[in-house]
Amino acid sequence: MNGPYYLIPIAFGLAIYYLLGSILVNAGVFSRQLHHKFWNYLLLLVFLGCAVLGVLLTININYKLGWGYIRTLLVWHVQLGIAMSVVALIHVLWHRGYFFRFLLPKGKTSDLDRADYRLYAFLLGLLSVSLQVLLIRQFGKVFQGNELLVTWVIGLWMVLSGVGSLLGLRIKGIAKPVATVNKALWFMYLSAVLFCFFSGSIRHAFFPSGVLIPPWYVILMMALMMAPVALTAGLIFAILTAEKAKDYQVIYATESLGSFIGGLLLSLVVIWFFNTYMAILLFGLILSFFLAYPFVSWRSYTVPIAVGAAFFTTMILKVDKIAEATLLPGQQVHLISDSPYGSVTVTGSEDQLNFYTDGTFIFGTDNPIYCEETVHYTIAQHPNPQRVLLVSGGYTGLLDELQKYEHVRVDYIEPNPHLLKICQRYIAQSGSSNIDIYKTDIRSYLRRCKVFYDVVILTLPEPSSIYFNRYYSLEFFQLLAQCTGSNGVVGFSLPQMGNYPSTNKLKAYSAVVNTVQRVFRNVEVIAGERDYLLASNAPLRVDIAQLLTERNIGLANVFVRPDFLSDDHFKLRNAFIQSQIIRDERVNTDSIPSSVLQSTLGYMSIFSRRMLWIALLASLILLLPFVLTKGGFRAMYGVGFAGSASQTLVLLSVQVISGMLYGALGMLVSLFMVGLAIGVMAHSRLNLVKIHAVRYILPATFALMLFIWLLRLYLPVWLMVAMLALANISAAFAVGFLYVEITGSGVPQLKPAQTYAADLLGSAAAIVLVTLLLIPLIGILYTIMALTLTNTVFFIKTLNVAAR
Amino acid sequence: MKRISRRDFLKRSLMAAGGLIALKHLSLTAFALDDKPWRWSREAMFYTPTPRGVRCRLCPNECTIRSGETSQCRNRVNYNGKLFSIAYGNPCAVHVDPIEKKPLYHFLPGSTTFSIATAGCNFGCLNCQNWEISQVSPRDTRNAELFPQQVVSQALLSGSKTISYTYSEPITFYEYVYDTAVIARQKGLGNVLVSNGYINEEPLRALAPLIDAANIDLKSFSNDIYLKLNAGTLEPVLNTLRVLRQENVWVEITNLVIPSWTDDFAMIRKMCQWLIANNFADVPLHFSRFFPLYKLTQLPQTPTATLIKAREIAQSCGLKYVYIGNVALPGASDTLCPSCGKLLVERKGYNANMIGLSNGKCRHCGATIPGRWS
Repeated sequence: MNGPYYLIPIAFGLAIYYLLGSILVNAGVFSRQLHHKFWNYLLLLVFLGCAVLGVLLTININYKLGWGYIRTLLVWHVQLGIAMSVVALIHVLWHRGYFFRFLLPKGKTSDLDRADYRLYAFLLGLLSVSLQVLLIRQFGKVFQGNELLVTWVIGLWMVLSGVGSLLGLRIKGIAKPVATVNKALWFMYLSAVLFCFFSGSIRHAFFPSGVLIPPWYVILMMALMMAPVALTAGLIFAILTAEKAKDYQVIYATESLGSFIGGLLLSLVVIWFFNTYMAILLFGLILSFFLAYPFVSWRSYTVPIAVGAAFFTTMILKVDKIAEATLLPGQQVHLISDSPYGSVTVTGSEDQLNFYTDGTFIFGTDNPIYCEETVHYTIAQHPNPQRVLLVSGGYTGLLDELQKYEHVRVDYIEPNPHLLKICQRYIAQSGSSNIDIYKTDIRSYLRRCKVFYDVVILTLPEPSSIYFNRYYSLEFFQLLAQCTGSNGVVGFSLPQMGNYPSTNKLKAYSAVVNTVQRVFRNVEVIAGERDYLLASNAPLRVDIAQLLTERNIGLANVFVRPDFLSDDHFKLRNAFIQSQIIRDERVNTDSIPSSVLQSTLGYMSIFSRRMLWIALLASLILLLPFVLTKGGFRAMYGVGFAGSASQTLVLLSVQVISGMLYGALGMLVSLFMVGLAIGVMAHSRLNLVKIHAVRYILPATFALMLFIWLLRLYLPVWLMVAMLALANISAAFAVGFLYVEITGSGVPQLKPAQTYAADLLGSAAAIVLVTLLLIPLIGILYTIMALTLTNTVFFIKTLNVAAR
Repeated sequence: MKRISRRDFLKRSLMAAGGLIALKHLSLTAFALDDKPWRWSREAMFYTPTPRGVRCRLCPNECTIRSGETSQCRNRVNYNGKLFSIAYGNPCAVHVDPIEKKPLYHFLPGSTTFSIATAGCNFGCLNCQNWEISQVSPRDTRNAELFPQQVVSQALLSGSKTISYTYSEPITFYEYVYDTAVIARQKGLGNVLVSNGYINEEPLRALAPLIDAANIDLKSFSNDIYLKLNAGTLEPVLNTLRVLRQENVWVEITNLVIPSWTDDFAMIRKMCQWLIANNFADVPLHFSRFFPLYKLTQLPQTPTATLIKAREIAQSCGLKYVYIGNVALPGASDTLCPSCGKLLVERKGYNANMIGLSNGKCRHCGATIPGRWS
């Protein structure tokens, strides 16, 4: 606990879960009596707890007993007091009819038959996708989420939505479905807004500032904060399909369409102009306008005007910056800016500027040692550098260092244009005509590259994720070698091996060194603030001080100067590092990202040596529904698993093969949604023969990906991306189609909410298992092979039997 | 294949899990047959058997360790009612470093020091730069075999003038340090302790006569921060500083300035005032720049301006030798004469040029500069 009392977490937690319970009551999942009974008992318990502790405290003070545990008693007395006040307030809110009547759109009846249920399905899709993306973005930033955590959280979102949908199976006739769906949509939205704005305070209440939080706490916190939104999303789908069972196909398709529009709107429009805080408020504005339509009276405008006022007030009072500042104590927040490339926060402490992307500190100004070491250790290796390629990090101060070589022509490639734009705005750079800036992916650039570089300096993040691994793979270094010629020098850095590298760190490090050594004859390491790896087919030297003297480099430097450096020290460290490298550690390739696995294991070892087993067990639990269920549920679980696995692999393949990360991924996710909608609507239009053929589409998409991966070195990139897009939309089409096939067309044989839940649970398992287990362990290629085989067997055997 | 029911599936899964747990316990007891935990162990020097287990008296944590259990520092185990250090002769890190890296600026400048560490630490600092060895047990690291006699031989071979017990926490491999220091002293080598200073007075007084120099981390001047950031307390560290001075050990102090944790100027002033009040005015104080590490990766590096202000505060309080480390700031590591202000030792990286110092005195005004200069 960071602060003395959990005021905000207790108040929020109780309020949100009370409202969630209320929605469940309205949906008919629980009786109102049970709900009231639960909160009455809770009030009684917290009252008794608070009172008993109060009496004990009084006795202790009056009779001067001096109990050692008095501070603990006092803390719990106050915590229970806070809880009691909130629960008491909730009782007052039982008379809340007036407020919710106000939110009900005018001009609409409470009968879902007469209201446009398609509007609700559309809004559900729109909201759930946008809130999911924005919340995961925000929580990832607040809790410093990495690929491992974000994947788990996406999986958990699906599980929670699936559970919400399963809860909906208990619905037995709702008196006012329109009002209930309305309330549920607003509840979903408002809890997302609250958790977005207060996530920093909640984190700060439980954890000290700047501290990496154990992954199980992160997942628990994120799950608790997402639950009200995700559970409600699943529940709304269940309400809609329960009320309009015959039209469940339309509901599913419209919801998918809403997700498509929401995804596009967010990734192609909103996120370019607004940060996460403002974007989430903007979606409230959109929701209120849709619900207020067709504006039959002046009262219809009330809610949109109120939400709009909140939006502009937040903007004027800079509430977003206040919320962000709780995350970064002691720093002044200058800017929060989002784009599809991620969220960038710029802060100031003293005269230093600090840059964060997605909550992770990436660099601070005023670090000349790093800049000088990065540039001069590499450039000094070349006898006459004329042309330098710098990849990323230019504005950390590297461009300034490069400008010390007046005759050198610099091509600077920045794969994150959003960060570049912000850096250009905040960090002054002396203008120079010998620097050309390219905003593109480095691999695409190298493929087109027609010139030879004398020196290449890479300052990219470590290979801790599948995306960043593509800058440390054999394929990448081979591309690089084509552009460096026989005397070219490549330099990049890894975190220090230090005095003792852990086994995971050593394996990850060795994998990279062995990979580089496959391509370049010589590899040396210069130990500094980081370990600077140099690679070349020409001889390399580690006596840097001597080299700087010979080449007359460093006189204008503050640290990398001949009189500052000790060649004996460099030689000792180089010998130590070379002696530690595991020479038979397998090389890092696009398809087998060895370093990613080791980095992930290294990250987990920070918290516990048993983390791997916990993670494995948790992953396998996600497979339990497949083992414990049968029939249609199991079949749909399998379909969801295959669809999600296919989508995950398409996204990762596009990242690795083409380097398109953000815009393209948004498009692919949206395409998947369109595919789902088309699949659902196409079911009734196909004859029996075609229906049987559809079930082979999913195995075929895996086979297509296998083909692409096997021939990736020979096929043009555009063709591979086009084929992956085809695989993506085909898989989605099959999932949508099989959803109807398994649920039953016309009059459903299974409850649509049930198959929807199965789909989500299968999807969650696929995302977690494919991204965190299969690919790190056996690589992308073997994962696709395994999925092709298992899916072919599943779709031929199980689905045939189970669906019918 | 025969299908199993849901109930059977759960039953079998539980039985398999139970079997695995039982197997683990059986294997642990089956392999414990020797009279000591393993080859690299030695009976601890400071402990007391109690009815609840043995109580380690080495550091203020004073762990009570039951049979088969391990101490908080991860390298002391209760083995058949006796406390053993399992970090004896098995260093996981062995390097030859410049003495300035420790950092020691007033102790044999320009010399190299043979540096060793085993796994284990009695703190749990969120910012530990050596967490891969400090937060694990010697059982989990790849170790060399280097018993005290061999350490001294290797140190002599390397041409080092001293042996440094460093990187992780030497207090937790106390017996190894003690025995090595005895032999090193006999062979004419100096002993350097780079430590968090979290040790009880009795073992400290026993070790101090063997130690020539120490760099002690004074991580903050707040008990609350010590608890939350380092899992320790302040007072034992202050006591260590006092005792080392009394025992005539050359002491230098490092204070890592971490944004939002230890960068409170009022606290820094309080710390400096305590140092002055306790006769530490002549002791070098190193303000060190923080970089995001281990579990503190969401914080930025310390601004240079903060470090400069900290140095100004320390100087205004009366501390004579205040340095700034981990930063490329001209003059930040140089030693100036407190009497005449002239440059005595110019430091560039790990290179030290004693341009204004002769036999421990300022060449310009003759003032004596505290330290062990040769």
